[in-house]
Amino acid sequence: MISPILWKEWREQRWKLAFGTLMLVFFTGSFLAARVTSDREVAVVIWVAGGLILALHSAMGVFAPERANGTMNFLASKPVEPWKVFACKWLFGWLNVAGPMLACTLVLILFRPGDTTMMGLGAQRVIRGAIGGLGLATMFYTMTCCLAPRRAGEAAVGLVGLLVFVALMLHMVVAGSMVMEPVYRDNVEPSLLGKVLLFVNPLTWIAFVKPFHPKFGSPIMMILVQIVLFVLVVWIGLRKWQRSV
Amino acid sequence: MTQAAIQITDLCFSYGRKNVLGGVNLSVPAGSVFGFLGRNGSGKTTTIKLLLGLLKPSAGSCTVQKLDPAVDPMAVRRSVGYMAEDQQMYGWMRVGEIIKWVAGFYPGWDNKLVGELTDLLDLSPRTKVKALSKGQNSRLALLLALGHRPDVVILDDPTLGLDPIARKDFLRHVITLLQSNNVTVFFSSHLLYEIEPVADQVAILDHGVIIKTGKTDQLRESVRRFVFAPKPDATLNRLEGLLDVTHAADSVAVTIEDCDDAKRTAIHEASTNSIQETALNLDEIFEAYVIGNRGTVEKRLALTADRAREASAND
Repeated sequence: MISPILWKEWREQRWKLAFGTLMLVFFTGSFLAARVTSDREVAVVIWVAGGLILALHSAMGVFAPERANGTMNFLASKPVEPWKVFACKWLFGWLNVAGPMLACTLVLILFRPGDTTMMGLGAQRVIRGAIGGLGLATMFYTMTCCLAPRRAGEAAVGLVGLLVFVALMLHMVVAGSMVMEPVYRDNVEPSLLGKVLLFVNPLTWIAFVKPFHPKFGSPIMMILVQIVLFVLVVWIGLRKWQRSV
Repeated sequence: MTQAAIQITDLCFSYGRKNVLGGVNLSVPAGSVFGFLGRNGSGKTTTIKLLLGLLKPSAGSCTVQKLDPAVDPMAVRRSVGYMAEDQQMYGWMRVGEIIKWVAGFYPGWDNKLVGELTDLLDLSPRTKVKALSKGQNSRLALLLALGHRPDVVILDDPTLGLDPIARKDFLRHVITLLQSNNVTVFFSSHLLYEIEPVADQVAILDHGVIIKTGKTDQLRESVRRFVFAPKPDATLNRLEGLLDVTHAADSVAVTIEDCDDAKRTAIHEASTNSIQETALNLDEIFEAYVIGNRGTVEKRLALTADRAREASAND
């Protein structure tokens, strides 16, 4: 019974996916061709800023339109479990984030395949950057849409997304100070609590762009903490969604 | 004894601290058209949402075709055809696409029946849903509710927002399609005159409580209005089954439920002249029950008594 939901979501989201991909690829290509700054900075802007904007925009269009258009009751009355509807909606919203990001990663590889200079992009950096950008965007997208599945207006969801971003920035300031200072001091190790507290913040995906500092902790640990956070946020979102149907 | 298609027992529901349903009891016989009457905000839609398993009851229970929606909502939704009030559907889909889309949820979808209904309801599969008129939209929603040949159809204020012609047209289709197929119809509405010609039984819901239930014909027979000039010392508030009192210049109209000879005699004793007895339509019956239930009868009775005393003093 999930195929009708998948079909509907595809039909509703496909133009957003196409538009998002074209826009991000266009900007990536333009920045690289114009050479206004280094390729690495172009990549970071695309992966971080582009990813966050895409995630916010996509999260705004996942659950809210169903309520704003009044079709929620029609959908909810069909014999399909709410978690399946939730999962399909989340998936297609995520594709709107992942699709354009992967497309512009491909553009970065095609434009500058072998540039491993200080300011250039090697294949390894591209892959690490793409993982980091996609991880950050995925978490930001998931947090925004899962914390606001009951909002009927896209603007209201956008506001929740902005509040999430502000909260993440504030958290990063506090948690970062607990870890970063010891990282750059001799004979001082950051505490495990400090590392976990820092790794809870999805903004730490940005650190994936380059290899982790030995004192900073392992990427595996960060990914595990992020997976736990992801499961928790999805669980909250699903509960909110099921209660509001 | 007729088997109940829908059984509701002491059903309670509250949104936070706000009590919406306070112990609803209903039994809808299989194959009947059941009119579920109530004003806006009386709890009709909440009851229907509980029947579909879209909400969980605070207390009590309900079953649809012996299935408990709180336990197995998917099975209930598969066996029930549901049309919501002012149903909004995906405007970007064409009629043919939305039919195909809804069909995907029901293993027993009957394409032959749907083809016939599409012609009968005068719907074009190429038309976009957003281009449909309100009447066409309602007809499409009805078609989508019937496509899987459900044994129970729940219509929640289906004619809301339709003009009188479209409403009659829709009801004609409902009668044609449903009454002939032994389908149980649970028809909620606040427009009484639209339920009257189609309902075998009715229940009146007010402030989350069923205040009257019974067969439509019996209800019409048992509720009577008497118009007469009351004696100055008449104690109308002692009349049993008094639902409503309205007064004109020199007369009073009282509405009595479960009217029998004893009640007629009591009214004769309270009257100074001849009595005019009339049967009421469902609209008037509903009004009498709902107003009576709101406790204004006593106030009106007091006013009537005052006027009767004034008239007597003037004479």
